[in-house]
Amino acid sequence: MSQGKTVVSAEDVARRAGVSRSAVSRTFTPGASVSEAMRTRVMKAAEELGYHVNHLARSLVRNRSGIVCLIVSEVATPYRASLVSWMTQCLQEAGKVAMIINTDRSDSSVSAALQQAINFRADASIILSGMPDSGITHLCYQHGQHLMLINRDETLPGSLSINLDSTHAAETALMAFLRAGCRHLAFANSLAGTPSLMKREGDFLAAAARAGVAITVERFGSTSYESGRILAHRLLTRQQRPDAVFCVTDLVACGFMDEARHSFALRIPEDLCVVGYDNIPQSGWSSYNLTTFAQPVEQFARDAVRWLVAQEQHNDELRPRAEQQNSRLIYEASVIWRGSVRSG
Amino acid sequence: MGDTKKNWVKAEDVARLAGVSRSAVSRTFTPGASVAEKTRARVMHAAEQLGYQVNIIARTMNTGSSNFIGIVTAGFDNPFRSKLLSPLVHQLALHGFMPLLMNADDPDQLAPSLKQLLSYHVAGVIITSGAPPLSLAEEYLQRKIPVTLINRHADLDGCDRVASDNQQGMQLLMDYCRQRGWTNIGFIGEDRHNFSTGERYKALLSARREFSLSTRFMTGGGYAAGRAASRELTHCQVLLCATDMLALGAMDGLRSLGSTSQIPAVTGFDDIPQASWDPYHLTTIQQDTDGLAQQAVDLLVTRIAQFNLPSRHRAVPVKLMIRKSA
Repeated sequence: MSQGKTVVSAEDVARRAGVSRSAVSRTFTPGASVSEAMRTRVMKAAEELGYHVNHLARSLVRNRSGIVCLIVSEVATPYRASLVSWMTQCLQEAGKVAMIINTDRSDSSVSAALQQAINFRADASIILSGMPDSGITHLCYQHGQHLMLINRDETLPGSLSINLDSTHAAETALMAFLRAGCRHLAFANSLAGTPSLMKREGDFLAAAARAGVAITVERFGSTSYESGRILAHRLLTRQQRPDAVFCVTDLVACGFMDEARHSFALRIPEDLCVVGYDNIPQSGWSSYNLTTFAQPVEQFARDAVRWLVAQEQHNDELRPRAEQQNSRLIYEASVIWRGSVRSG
Repeated sequence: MGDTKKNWVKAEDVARLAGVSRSAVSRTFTPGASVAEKTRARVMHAAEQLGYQVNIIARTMNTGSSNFIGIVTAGFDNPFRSKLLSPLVHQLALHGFMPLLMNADDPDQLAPSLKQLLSYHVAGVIITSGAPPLSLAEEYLQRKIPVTLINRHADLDGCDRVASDNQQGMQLLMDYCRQRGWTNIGFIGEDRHNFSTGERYKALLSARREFSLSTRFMTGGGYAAGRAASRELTHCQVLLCATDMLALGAMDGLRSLGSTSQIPAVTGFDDIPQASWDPYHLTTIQQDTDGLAQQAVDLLVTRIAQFNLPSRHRAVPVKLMIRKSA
């Protein structure tokens, strides 16, 4: 820039410390060998001069920038916000930095975001919503850019998939409803159709089928509070009114509960049992007190970053690419019992 | 990076295949740069054949200026902060800037993380409420990196800030109290040193002769803090809460008392999505997150163009949203 910033170079540090340029470089390269005395001298000189490793220069040499793209839509919803929060924190701890790219959830905007990630020589991209086309994912793979997919069904070469097992949650919710004496069970879903949301529905239907119980399914709109209200209206005006509903997310459940109380004067859990998914902060507020399933978001984030670091070490060791495995991590959601289901 | 290194096609490779100069390749991929249509076509064809990918970082190194902007934020559990992020990212993108997000939740991690931003030659930094120490803002300013603050204060030379008009917001609320004939007012704030809480409290104090005031400052703020504070203020006619999160907690807290007598009205500040949910219908002051983001990015962009400007401050107007809670 034109303002003439004074940037301290590695040479300046080497001169001050009375060591070689390469000793400075090794001191600031994780895992590189340098004697403790040398390291101390370099660190002291670096501190005095206000030297910072130039990630940009380093990325030119190694094609690794330390940048990880977070590709996300609707970041203001509570679940996404907590995911972004944990991801950025864990990346920072690993010496990396998150670059946020907003998408509109369309697959084409996710592909455009990945193209940007390549142009910035990002180390990796974490896709929190949408699914890019295979051309661009192949390009990422070719260029050694790691992909991490959260709650997507697909696996891609050299990528990490993080998924949640909702079968246990489905069985737990079903048992809770039956124990409470509920007879007419429903599942309230959005029309978003993402793999994880569809799996929650599918697992609940499968668990019910095994128990010989029928489920009414209703789907509407985006995965939001407002949709929850409309879903409630649709399900609760049916001739056979449900007395238990499993909502696909807490946000939907909150809207569902409000509509049930407000427009149908139903008491929860006396007249209607409700279970949600995600354990967003609002589900713990006393106006909802919602029984739900918690995703181990912090664990996702820690494991994803750990995987990325391991992949990079792997690459540095010059092993053939064929050894790079597609990895899949599966987590179980844990039930958080609150007051929206009657005890049996 | 080991075996993947060879996969990166260089601009030189494209130039060689296209039979043009290195600079012609560079101009072809620089928006707005001049290059003959015929040359552009040859370059694009060669780039396509080789699978060339523009390296923005290399361009940064050549020009000395990056298009990275650091956004330092914390406390994403408050929906107001996550609501502000989206328009910020959008506004930056409109100006061709890419946001590097720094999470300041972990105080031990903060200093190294902010130093790390320096290593990306960030063109500027936006620091939002919730995110701590301003000493780091000083460090950036010393290096002539523009800093814009959102909803917080600092007397730093060359530091710009944008904030919702807290004075106006509290005036609107006090006018509403007068209209309703409420004189016995409770105020629930976050930490006394929190900028927004401080400004909102100060505005209220300016009318203290008119009102009888009870106050509670709850370190950290949030839903649980509002819940706890509300139970000590049941004698008030209205509880003016410094944030929506405090207000929603206060409403649930008052309800949990199960009292049949009159309970105080409650107002908030922010207008987060949950404020309009059924159990709350919170009367609150709406902060214009799009306006805040737009002003913040405008301040930053103009200072990137010219660093030596006097400090500027912009207030973004707010709106009273009357709902059922008051």
